Amino acid sequence: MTLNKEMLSLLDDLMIENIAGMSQEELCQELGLSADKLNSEVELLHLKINDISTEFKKAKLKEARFNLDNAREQQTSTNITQTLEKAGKDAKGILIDMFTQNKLPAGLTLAFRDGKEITDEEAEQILADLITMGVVNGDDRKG
Amino acid sequence: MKGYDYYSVDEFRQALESNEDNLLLRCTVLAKSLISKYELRMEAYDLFQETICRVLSDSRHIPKGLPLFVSLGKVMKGIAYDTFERKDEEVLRKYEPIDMHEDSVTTAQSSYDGKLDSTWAQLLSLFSEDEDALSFLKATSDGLKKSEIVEQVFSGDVNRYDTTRRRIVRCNVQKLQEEA
Repeated sequence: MTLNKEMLSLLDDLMIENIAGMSQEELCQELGLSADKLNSEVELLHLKINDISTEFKKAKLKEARFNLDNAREQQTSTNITQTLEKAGKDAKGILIDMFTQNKLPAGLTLAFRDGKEITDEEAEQILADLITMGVVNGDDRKG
Repeated sequence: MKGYDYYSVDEFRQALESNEDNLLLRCTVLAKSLISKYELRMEAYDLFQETICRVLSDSRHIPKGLPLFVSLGKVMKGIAYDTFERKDEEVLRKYEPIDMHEDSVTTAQSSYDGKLDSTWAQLLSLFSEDEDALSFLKATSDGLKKSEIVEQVFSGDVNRYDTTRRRIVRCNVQKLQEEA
């Protein structure tokens, strides 16, 4: 019988479940270990974990950056909410006010003049970007 | 990913170092079994190390709600299968050839194939009265993927697929083989 990928995957999962349920004695038996050799075997594995300490450091850095980006995104989201609440308007309304006051960056001004339709989600994202850039300030929030 | 609790890097490292429930030994046994099954030219410790590196570098998040060994096992099996399928020369070059194991690898190959066939036959026998499980096994041996099995065998019911697969995976086949 030819075993295809799905069959092999299922049999691998079976193997994982079987090993997950093994006692320490059964594990030692599988590895051909006596009880006194157990500690040295585990020590070898601890050494392997230490060997990849650089990978651990990289992963921590990546995790820190991810958390920082998340925090920034949440802060921006909070800023948008505060901006909209203070203005008593939706994002599109604020952008239109800024357009009439000639406070939008050139590219956006062009889009408004061309009558380009912007969705509510796009408007909120544009507003978020403008807040991040510092283009939107207290006067603009008042509308 | 929202709604799940995952190990942070520190928590993951602590969990490995704590070696709770003989985690490290279980990983070693699994690594050796996968190496034997797929005839990989590497040491068990190296497959274990590759697994840890993959978890750290790949943003492959390990959920806290599942046994850590099972989660690591799935990563390890993926690496083993990928290596087997692609005959990844890059990975193979990292490890010393196990010359002294050449004979035993040849022996293991022929005995392992037979063992897998036997295991599959025993599954079919064990679940002969379980319509869902039997249909699942037959569809799998026909080469159907998960989405196809869900549609064709379980009428689109993903839960039924998951519970059936889980029921099969959790049967103690090794015990059956020892009894046989």
